[in-house]
Amino acid sequence: MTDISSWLEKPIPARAGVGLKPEHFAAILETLPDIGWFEVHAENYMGAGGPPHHYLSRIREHYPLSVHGVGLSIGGEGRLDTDHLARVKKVVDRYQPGLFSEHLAWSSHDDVFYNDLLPLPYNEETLATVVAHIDQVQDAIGRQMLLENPATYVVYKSSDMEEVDFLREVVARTGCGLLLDVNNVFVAGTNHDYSPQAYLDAFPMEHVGEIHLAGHAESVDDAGKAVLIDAHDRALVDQVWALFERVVSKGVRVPTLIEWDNDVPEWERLFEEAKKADKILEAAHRDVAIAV
Amino acid sequence: MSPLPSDMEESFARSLLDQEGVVPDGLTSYSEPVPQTRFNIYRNNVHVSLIDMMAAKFPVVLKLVGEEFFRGLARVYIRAEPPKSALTLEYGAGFPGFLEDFEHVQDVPYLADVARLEWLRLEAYNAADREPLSPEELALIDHDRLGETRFQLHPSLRTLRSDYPVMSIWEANMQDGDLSEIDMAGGGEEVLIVRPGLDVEILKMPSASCDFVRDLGSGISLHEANARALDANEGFDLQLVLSGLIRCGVFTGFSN
Repeated sequence: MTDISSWLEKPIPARAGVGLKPEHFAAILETLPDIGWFEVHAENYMGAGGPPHHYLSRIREHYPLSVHGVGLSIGGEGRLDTDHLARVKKVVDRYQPGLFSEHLAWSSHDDVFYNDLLPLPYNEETLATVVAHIDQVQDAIGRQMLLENPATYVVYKSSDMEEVDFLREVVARTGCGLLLDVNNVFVAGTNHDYSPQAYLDAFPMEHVGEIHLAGHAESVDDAGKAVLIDAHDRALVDQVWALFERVVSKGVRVPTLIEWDNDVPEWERLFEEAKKADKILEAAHRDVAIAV
Repeated sequence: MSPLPSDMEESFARSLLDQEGVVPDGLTSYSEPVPQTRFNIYRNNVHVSLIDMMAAKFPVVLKLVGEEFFRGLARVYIRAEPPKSALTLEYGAGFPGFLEDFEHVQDVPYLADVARLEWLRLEAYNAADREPLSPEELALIDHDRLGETRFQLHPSLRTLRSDYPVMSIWEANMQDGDLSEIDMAGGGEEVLIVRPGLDVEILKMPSASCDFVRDLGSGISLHEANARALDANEGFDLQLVLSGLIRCGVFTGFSN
């Protein structure tokens, strides 16, 4: 039996981590790289047993872990699937992650699961629903969760709140924290013609418990305007690195994840991206030390 | 008039999977008042992610029908039987049955059974872990009471009996994909799937083995299971079948 008490003593450091992919299980266990932590999707560890649990348990013995849910449909108007919530709780209980996060999005409607993060309008009605859902999740798993800002491609006419104000209000009413996805800010800013910098300047950084960084795909709409797609299939663009530096310069030092879920590269390539994020965090620490 | 908020999600959801993909009322964007290309990103994400998921789960079916045909096939399946929960590990369980009935694959009659084999392999992969009995532990069985012995079987154990040489077809496609050596009219095959450790083992079994294993799993004695197997097939070789089962780590406990 694995002794989980040692896991609890390893909170997630304010360093870079990466999304754990099965392609990298062997390389990680062989080389035990100097990386801060790993994140997994809860839904990938919901089987009864087998290799996924085998490898994650071994990696968990060496590294702090974060669990990221992609299927709770917190932004959906219907009830949460309590069976799925129980499965999420089981993963959280089993692996005792340092952080648990989910999305401001919906993925199920009636009895169909769409396997994508779909957008919701921002208004008083949806706010009440999201707040109730987050209360329910936090009660079930017995801890604070982080809520992630989405990458979106369309706008609802029935929205009458800014996304940042919506998130701020959710935090105030539920006590949850926020997962700031910097790539999503860049993607949504481009897609809706607003300034990512202004979005970040308005973001309640004091509630950010984790950062996500990822690559995106580029497209255009019928009007010939750029549309970015949150694809997680390549390296970050320089503009997203610059936005990350802007966040760090605001004093935010939190666990920072590189997400690369499709066209997954060799371990060394992914590790390079993590080291780049670590350098930015370290430089900020040094600057603070000099200032003191 | 804008739809009521409670209709928004309904019309969004419906347009994600239907044929037309009409932009739901109530959506807009700064550049496209009716954001068709933008809405299509969501439609595409839903379809492509689920088709990719099916391709990863059924690589041999894909190889047998070709990638382009498979992706079209998966698209029809996704629309007919979309996932019913976020537990995507379970999605695809209905695919073999779907192939059984789907008119455009009737010229590949063994396709559904190949899909069954791939699905059972995934079930075994994710099943609960259990240490199989070692040969030493099995040697402790009292020989005088061997016939009365009842076995507990590994939670990952699955069996498949096909009218087609399903294991040979699967094996050939995991290698070079050359089916020309396989005698499609040469009768069916029985296959046993189990994961005693990290690797899923797939074994072609002698005739009548699947029922024998299922009988043992139902809790009847070795003697009775053997008698039933001999009834079904007088050539049933208990020694041969039992040693194969032991070698694969099928047994996790016994009582007699």
